[in-house]
Amino acid sequence: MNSRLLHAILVPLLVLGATCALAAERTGRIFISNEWGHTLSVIDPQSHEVIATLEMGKRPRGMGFSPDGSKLYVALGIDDEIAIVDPYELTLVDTIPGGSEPETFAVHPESGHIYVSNEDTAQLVQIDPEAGSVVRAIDVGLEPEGVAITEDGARIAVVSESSHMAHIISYPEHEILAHILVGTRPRELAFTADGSRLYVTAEVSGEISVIDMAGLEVVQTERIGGRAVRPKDVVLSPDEKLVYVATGRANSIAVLDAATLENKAMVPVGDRVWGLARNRNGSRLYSTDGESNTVTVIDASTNEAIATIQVGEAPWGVIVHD
Amino acid sequence: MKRRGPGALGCLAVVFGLAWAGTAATGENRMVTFWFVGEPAGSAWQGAQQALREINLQGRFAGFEFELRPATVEEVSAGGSASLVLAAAPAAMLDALGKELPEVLVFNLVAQDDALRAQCRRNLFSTIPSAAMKRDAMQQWRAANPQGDAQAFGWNHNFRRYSSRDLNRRFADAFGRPMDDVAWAGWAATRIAGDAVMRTASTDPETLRAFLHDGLSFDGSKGFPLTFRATGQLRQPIWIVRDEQVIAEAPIAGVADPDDLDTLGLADCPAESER
Repeated sequence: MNSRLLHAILVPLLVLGATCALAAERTGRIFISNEWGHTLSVIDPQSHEVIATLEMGKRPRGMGFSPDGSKLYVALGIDDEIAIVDPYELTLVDTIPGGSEPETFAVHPESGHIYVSNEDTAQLVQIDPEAGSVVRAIDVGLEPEGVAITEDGARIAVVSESSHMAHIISYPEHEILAHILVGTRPRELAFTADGSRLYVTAEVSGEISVIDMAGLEVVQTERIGGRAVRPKDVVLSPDEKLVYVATGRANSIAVLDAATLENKAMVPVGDRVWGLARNRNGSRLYSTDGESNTVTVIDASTNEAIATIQVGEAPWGVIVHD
Repeated sequence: MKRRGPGALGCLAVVFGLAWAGTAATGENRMVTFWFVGEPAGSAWQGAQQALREINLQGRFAGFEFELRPATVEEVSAGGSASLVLAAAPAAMLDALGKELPEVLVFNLVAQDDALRAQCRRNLFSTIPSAAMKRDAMQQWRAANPQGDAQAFGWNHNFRRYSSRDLNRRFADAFGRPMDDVAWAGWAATRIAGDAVMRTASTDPETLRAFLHDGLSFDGSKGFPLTFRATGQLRQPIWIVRDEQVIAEAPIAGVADPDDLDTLGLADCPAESER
C-alpha cells in the first residue's frame, strides 16, 4: 500500500477516532445517593471500594446522567435544587432550581431535559439544565413519583402514588395520551428497549404490572409473593428475559420472568432495599439497603450477593456510569 | 460501552393508534354522589372533603366526578337512587339506616362499638377502629411495657412514616388543624368509595360490595395494604401514642406477629351473626 493511500485511510480514521474520543469513555463507577448523610458515595466497579465521598446539598435522592454521560444530576430534596456533578473529576459543577422537594426524575435522551415529579403541585416539571429553568409543568395525579422515558424519547411515563395511576405523555408534543389505573401506590417504572412494554411496581399492593404501550392498557399484573414485600425500583436484564425488583422491607431482590412475571428467585440483600441498578452488560446488580447503610453487589449469573459495601447514611439511589 | 446517540433512527416518532384507556373529556364525566349522614362540619366531614378533592383529581382522568351530599336518613331514603352513604353517626342511627335502606352500602366513620362488628352486617363497612382493636393494641403494648403510660389511636398528626407525613400535611394545609382518628376514618372511607367506583367503573351496590371484600387493597398511609374483614371492619395497625408522638405500632413485635392485623379486634364473624 503506498503512503498516499495509507494517508487517505488513516486521516479519516484518526478524525473519526478523535470525534469518538470526545464523547469520553464512561468510568463504570457506581454512584450512591445517601439521603440522610447528604453525600454521594462513589464505588469502583472492580475493587468495590468507596473511592470518594462527595459532600452534597441536603437530602440527595434521585440521580440521572446527561445523554453524553458528562454530567450527573442529583435531586436535592431539602434544598429544592438539582446538583450537577462531574462524574470524572468528582466535583460539584453547579446547582439549578429543581422545583419543590425534588425526589426522582428522568433525563430525556434527545433533549437532555430533566423531567422531575413535583409532589407538592401534583405535576411533572420539565427543566432545561443548560438554562437552569423550568420549561413546562404538566398536571398529573396526586403524589407523582417515578419517571421513565423510552430509549427513542418518544414516550414519557410518570406514576402518581396516591392516585394509583401511570400517566403516558407524548414527546415532543407533551400531550397526555392516557391515564392508566395500576396497583396501589405505584413507585417506579421501566420500559423495554423498544418502548413496547412498561413495567410498573406498586408498593402497597405488592404488585408488578405490565402496560402494553400500543393499547395503552395493563395486560398483566402479578403479586410478588412473600412477607412484607413492598416493590420499589425495577430493572430489566439486557436481554429483557428477567425483571429485577427491589422489595423494601422484604430485604431482597426479586428475580422475575419478564414474560410470565413468575418469581424465580429472591436474592437476600441488606435492610429496606429501595434502589436498584445494573451495569450495562447486566453482569452485576447493585442495591441500596437504606436501613443497613450498605450497597449489595449481586452476580447476576448466579443470583448471589458477592459483596456488601458500607456507604453513607440511608443510601437511597444507585446509578452506574457506563 | 458507549451509549448510542439519538441519531436519525432514534428521532423517528413511534407511530401507533391512540387508544384512550377509559378517559373522558371534561364535561362528559359521570357524576357520582356519596351521601353524607351526620354533621357536615367537624372531623369526619373534613376528612371526607379532603378525600373528595383527591378522588376528583384522579376521577377527572378516569371519567368520573364525585360529590358529597349531606342529608338526613329520611332525605337519603326519599332520594331513591342512593347506593353509598358515609355515616358520621352513632350506632343507633346506623341501625336506622340499615333498616331504611338495606340495599345501600354504609360506611361507618365514627362508631367504635364492638357489637356493630359482631353483627357482621353485609352492607356496613367501618373505617374507624373498633374499641376491641384499641384494647388489644394496649394489651400487647403493656405486655412489653408493663410500667408504660400511653394510649391507642387509629391515627396521629405527628407521624411521618409510610407517607403519613404527606397526608397530615395536606389535611393541615387545607383545614388549619391536625388530622385526628375520625378525620382519617372519614378520609379513608371516601377514598375507598372513590377507588371502588373507579376500579369497578360501577355504582351498583352489589358490584361495589364484592370489590370491597375481594378486590380492595387500600393505601391508608399506615404502612400496610388495608383490607376489610368479614365483619366489615377495615383491618389496620393501631398506633401507641404518648405526648402526641407515636412510640409504637401494634401489632407489637415480640408480643404478636407484627404482620398479622387480625391480632387486633374481632378477627371473624361469630357463628350466630348474619354471615
